[in-house]
Amino acid sequence: MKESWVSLPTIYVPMVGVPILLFAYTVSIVAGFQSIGRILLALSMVGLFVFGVSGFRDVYINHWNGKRTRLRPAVTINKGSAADVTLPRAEAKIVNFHVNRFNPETQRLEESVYGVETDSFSNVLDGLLKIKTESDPTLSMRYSCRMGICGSCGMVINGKPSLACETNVWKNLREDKITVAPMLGHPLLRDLVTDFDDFFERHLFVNPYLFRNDLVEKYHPTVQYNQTKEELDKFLPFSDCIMCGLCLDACPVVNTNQEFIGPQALSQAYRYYADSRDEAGKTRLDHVDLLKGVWDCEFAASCSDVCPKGVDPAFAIQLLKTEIIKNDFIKRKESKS
Amino acid sequence: MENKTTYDVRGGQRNLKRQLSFNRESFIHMAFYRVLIIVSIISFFVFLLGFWFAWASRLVDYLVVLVWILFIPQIFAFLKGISMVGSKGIEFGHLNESYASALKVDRNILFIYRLAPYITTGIFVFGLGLFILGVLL
Repeated sequence: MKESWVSLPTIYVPMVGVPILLFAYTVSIVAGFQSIGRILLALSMVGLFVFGVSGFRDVYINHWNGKRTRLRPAVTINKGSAADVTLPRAEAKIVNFHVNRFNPETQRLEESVYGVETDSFSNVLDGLLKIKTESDPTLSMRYSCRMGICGSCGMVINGKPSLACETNVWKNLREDKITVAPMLGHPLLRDLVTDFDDFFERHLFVNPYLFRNDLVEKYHPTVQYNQTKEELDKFLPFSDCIMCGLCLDACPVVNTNQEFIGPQALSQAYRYYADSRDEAGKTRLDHVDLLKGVWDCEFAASCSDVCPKGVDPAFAIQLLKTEIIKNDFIKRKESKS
Repeated sequence: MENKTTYDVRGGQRNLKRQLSFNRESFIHMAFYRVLIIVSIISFFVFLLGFWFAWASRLVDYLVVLVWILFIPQIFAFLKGISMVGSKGIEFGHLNESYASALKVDRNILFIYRLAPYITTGIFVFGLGLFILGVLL
């Protein structure tokens, strides 16, 4: 059974219907129509019950399936602070980097504090590399391009998932310090390094490539697949994804329910669905019309908030929901006619 | 080949706390939704009890106030989603500026999408006031 046929009437319809009924109940009571008011209250209570049970299935029962482990409290290891480092240049500033490193042996986040010389152009990755080369070569992190293109250096900086190479140190100082931690929305490996196998599995789930029916043309191309600006506009912003995993880390649903496919994969599902060259058509919608697909998205929009490329995965998921609903209506009309 | 050992902290509802450091609105929306689910189910059963016990029907009114408050962030988020889709991601969206600025949309009507969630939520909050004054007191 399609999830849209379950989630729509049990969560989305009551989400609109119950407030309207409660409003109507209030108006009828204030206007003196007690009996009508009681009926409206009864209807809204039934709506609330359906909403509650469905939400319980969505949020609590579904989430219990996830593995639950707790990180034990952090211990602080002081590796030298700002006071220990001499200031060589007038324009330079010594900043304390509080690095929460995941120790796989103790399974703890251990905070190390390093004093790092920075200038107004320094980004967090510069600081971490300085720590690695000058203070502590054991510090592990993932990075590559250093210019916000590869998406490797995703980490949590001052509590917000960000790319270290795109986060200026001076502009993000909080009480003269920078706090860095690994992305807890991904499985942890060591220090600031997280495992992306699970992330890429989610990405693969949505078949992130163009489907073509003309197989001969596909392998022996003779023509171009031209697109108009309108056709391009439909999917262009979603194709900017660099797979940095920040959206997955920021998503509160992914953090509480491992079953949810997540914003990155879903935005890519829409990206290929909206591409006029793709011939998979409605099957892409059916593929994500699941509770662990689009319907588990609660529209917190944190994914879009942290996306460094302006992909706006939350928008893509809402577009997918809209397309699924439209598609259902069209199918029903066709089956009636 | 060495096997990877990973440690996974995902899965617990306590992870919602992470939202507090960068997106408080999202935290309120998510936390209220989780409480609303429980309160909704309880409200229904208290309403049923109201057929037999007078105290239960009085309690329902207080639960309705709670439900009403818990619904406010849900309504706002729902309307934001509709506005976002209607305005092609310009309002309440986070699309790349270079793309959003070149997008073909009627920019004269965008303010409707911008204001609609606030106005509708305002009406809903007004309803709560009406309920407290007209029904509860």
